[in-house]
Amino acid sequence: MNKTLVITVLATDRPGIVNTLSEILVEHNANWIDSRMANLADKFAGLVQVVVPEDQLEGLKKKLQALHLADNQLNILMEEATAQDNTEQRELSLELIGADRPGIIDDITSTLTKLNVNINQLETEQREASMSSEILFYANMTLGLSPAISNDDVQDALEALQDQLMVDINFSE
Amino acid sequence: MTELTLSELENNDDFIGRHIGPRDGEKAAMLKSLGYDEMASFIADVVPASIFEAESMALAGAQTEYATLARMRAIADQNVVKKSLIGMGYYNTITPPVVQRNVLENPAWYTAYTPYQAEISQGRLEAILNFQTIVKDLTGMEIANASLLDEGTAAAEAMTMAQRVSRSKATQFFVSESCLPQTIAVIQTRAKPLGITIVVGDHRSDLIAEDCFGALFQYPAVDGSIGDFREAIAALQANKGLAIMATDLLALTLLTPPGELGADIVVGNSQRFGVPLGYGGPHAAFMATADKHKRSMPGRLIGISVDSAGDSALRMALQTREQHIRREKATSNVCTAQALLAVMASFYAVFHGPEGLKRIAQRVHRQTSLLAKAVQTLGFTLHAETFFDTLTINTGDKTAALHSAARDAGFNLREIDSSTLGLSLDETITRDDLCELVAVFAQGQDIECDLDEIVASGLPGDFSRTSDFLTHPVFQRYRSETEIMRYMRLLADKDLALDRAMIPLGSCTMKLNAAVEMMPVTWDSFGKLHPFVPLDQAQGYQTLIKELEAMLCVCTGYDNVSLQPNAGSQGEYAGLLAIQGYHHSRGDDQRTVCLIPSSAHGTNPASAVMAGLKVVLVECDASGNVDLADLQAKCELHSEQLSSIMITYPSTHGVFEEQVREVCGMVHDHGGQVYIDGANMNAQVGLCAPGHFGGDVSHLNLHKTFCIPHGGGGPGVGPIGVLAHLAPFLPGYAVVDADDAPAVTGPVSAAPWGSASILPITWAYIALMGSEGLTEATRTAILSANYMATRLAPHYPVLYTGRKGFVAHECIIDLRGIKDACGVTVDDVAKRLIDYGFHAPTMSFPVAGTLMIEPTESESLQEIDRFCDAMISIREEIQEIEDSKIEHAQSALHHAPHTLKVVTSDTWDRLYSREQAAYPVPSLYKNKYWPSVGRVDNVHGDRHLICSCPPVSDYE
Ligand SMILES: Cc1ncc(COP(=O)(O)O)c(C=O)c1O
Repeated sequence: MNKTLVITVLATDRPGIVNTLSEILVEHNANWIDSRMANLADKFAGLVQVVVPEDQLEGLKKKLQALHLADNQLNILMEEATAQDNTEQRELSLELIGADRPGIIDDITSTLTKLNVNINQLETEQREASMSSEILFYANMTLGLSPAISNDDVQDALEALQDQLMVDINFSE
Repeated sequence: MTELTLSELENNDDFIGRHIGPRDGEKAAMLKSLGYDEMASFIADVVPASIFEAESMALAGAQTEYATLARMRAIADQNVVKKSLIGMGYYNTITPPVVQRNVLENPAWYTAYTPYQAEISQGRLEAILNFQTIVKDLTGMEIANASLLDEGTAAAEAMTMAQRVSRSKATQFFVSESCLPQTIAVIQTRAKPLGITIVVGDHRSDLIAEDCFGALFQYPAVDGSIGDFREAIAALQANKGLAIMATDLLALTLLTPPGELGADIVVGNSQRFGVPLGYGGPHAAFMATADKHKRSMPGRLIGISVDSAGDSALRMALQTREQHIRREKATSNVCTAQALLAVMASFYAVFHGPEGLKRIAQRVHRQTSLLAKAVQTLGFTLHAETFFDTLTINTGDKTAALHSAARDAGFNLREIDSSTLGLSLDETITRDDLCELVAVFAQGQDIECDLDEIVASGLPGDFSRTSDFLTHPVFQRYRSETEIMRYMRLLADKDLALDRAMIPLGSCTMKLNAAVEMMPVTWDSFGKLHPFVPLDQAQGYQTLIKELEAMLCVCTGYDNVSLQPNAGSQGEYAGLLAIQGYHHSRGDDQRTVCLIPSSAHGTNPASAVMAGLKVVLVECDASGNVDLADLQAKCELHSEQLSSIMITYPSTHGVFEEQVREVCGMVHDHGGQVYIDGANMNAQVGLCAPGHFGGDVSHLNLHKTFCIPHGGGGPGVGPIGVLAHLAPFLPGYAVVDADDAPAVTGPVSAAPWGSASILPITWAYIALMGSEGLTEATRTAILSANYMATRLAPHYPVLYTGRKGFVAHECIIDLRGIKDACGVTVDDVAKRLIDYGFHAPTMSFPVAGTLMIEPTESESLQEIDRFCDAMISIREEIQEIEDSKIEHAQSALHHAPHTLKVVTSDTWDRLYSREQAAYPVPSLYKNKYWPSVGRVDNVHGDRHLICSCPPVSDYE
């Protein structure tokens, strides 16, 4: 039996973090399935999904834990994923633009949560608008939708926010 | 004393020194500061040798202002001014003299820029908000935008908006056959590359609602009738389609507004609200819609927000819809619109008020009803029972004779066919006119008509307007001329236009718009021509157009020019259509990929999408130039599909790219065509020519390089120049039959020669300057930009430079390092410049976090130095924050701009002095501009969107 483990890494950025991690994974026959990494304000943040044989799981966890304890610039958290059946879900990829303000991400995510939509991926950015230089909020997201929810439902809910978000549907399955 | 010759005394070059700011001695000093003794060697080091034109342009020599006006008068006199009752969306109108003198002829209004800098634009923002309120009220809709280019393009925009909004999957769009023919033609052009099928027919019998994502109806129709579209609208909406109505604002003072009939989108032209016919434009078209569709609406939108003190302040709202932010996903490519004309129309309504407008409408309608009765008495029948101001009359075999009798009496009627004619009355029609018209139809018969008789109305009873409009006090308060004059002055005084200070906007070329160039615009012999008059009445215009086309060919190196596009964006679109027409003519239908550098202006990708093209980005290299390796790779990858590349020259980064010939060559090698965006033509005229170094087509912005004023966001003219192989694919003409009209591509504007009445401005500029004057203007523009870059470089990094470290006619200074170091933003610097009395440079285009500065040749050395001094002084203020002497949040930069109210308040708890706030440099004691509001809150504006006149309490 294989187990799915999700690992998060937060560290002061320096070369070799990803490499250290991948070496440990190889040692334990773990398979690197998917990851997101970013560098924000000199911090490295990574989110990795791995599949590991059940008999290697404890060993891997220990090794990562040890790494975490040995280096106070390197924070590692991990959690076993409970198998959840998402096969019913279809994907929707969206782009949002609006005026930036504190709390906007929270409002967007809680709107989506109310709709019972899964946020599979979310990337956001602030940018100065050309000509007016007002600060804009850009978001790129992939959502998991249950069959009961239509693209229009998602768009309508996001447009109902006071922020006058521009919602673009890039693709949907 | 040496005696001068008469030629010397005549001083034909006089105007050159009026247009160009720096004196000869000053130019020498500027050159010296750059290490040169003479202009020629400096220019040779800036402009790449591979494209430099050694020969001077084949244009006439410079002329004096007096001689130019005399020549212009002779041309204007070739026009024959008759009263045109042709209608079709264009009507005679009376520009209130108070509006003509205080707005149209006032540089405070016509030299302003688009109000991106809200704090220095509150006056024109208010006038445009009034315009939105007028359109919203009269159409009965919830929200209206601040102008589109003409009714035809507004209807085409409404079509594509309907497709975006509609949740119907249909691909057909229905157009009522009673729409204006030029509107139908523009829609057909627009639909073709987008794969939309246009069905033209009778809405009662031919509309199959389930097949259409939308439909367009004209209310009142081109034949004058007032149709009932309610059933058609309901059927469309039942099938998720949108109903669009094209309408006439004056008629709506008497008719049930489209909003009450269920329309989803309403478009039209505001021309008859005091804007001269001008042989087709410029006029402000409008669009109004339901609040729920606002995100999909094209064009600019003014909204209300608050400033830093919490006071009400206006701004441009929902910019996230527009091309400068959304690029290929924008709702439209519209950028420069028709702001000045919208402002004029708004003052027309402020001047007349709701009762006045209604009285005009009733008078026009009464006159039409009297005429209808008279012609019927004379035995003619009317085509339709209902009418507002337009009659279509069955005139049988008398038609030709009636046209000629009308012409002899001084009227143009609408030529429909050999047995039908049309006429539309308007507010200029007098009793005498009416009697003469009756006499024309009487053809010698005796007829009695009592002009004061209350005759039967042609308005259908069930469509008479019951709802109020223009109830806001602004439409009551300024009825006396004293009051309205002061209102106009009050608004103008809030704004910073070229009549107060330089506007150093990169990419916008805010140069002098000389009074002499503007004067012909208000001559009747240009203003009173209907766009569809017989060509023999428009010989003055035709002469002017031909001469101007030839002049622009010389300036650009192209073989043919079309003056039809009403703005740069429309030129881009027309140019890409020409390219696609060419590819199609060779069977290359698969060529649909358009390469666009990442630094391009937002209109480029937005236009490409409208032309049915797929945008592929090309990267720029570290020095800001097109990355040749990436271009090569993209050309190879898309070789078979390559339609074109759109580049800007000099680049939007303000640099003469050395390898422009290679860029053009690579694209040509792969069968693509080269579109060169000519917005930066001010760095080229007389020195290099896009038609000679690889361009197949370019648009020019006559409202940048060629002196048409910006008008606070339009009018503009965006003519395109093409090499001969593209000439057959230039835009065709709607309605007008001309032998030389191109026949393949349809029209892109309603009027064949677009905004014809402002073409004299450019013609005059070129005639006044002559070949040498134009070239010297270009050289000076480049010199001034480099002088400025050199003065600023020790204080702010100049982002991109070309060979030998020179910029072209503008330079980008990079503020990102400053922001990282101490938090001061581009916005802070821009708003602080207001305290120093300046309009900010272009912000965050083409690179976020930068300012792009373009001085133009028209600014004197003194003004350029004043600006540099301000920038340097601001840099010192930034340094204090960097040195931790003051925190960013406490600084004058953060709180800028400072209003008089803030500075004179009894409480002052800032860590800098009031003097530092308002008078940071001593020259301001002599000349101080006070912004009328503090920094405007953008987020608040979008979150509390209000786009019409605020609640009455704000006015008390
Ligand atoms: C480089 C460039 N291209 C195109 C345009 C569009 O021109 P317009 O505003 O006349 O549509 C502009 C001006 O705004 C520009 O700066």
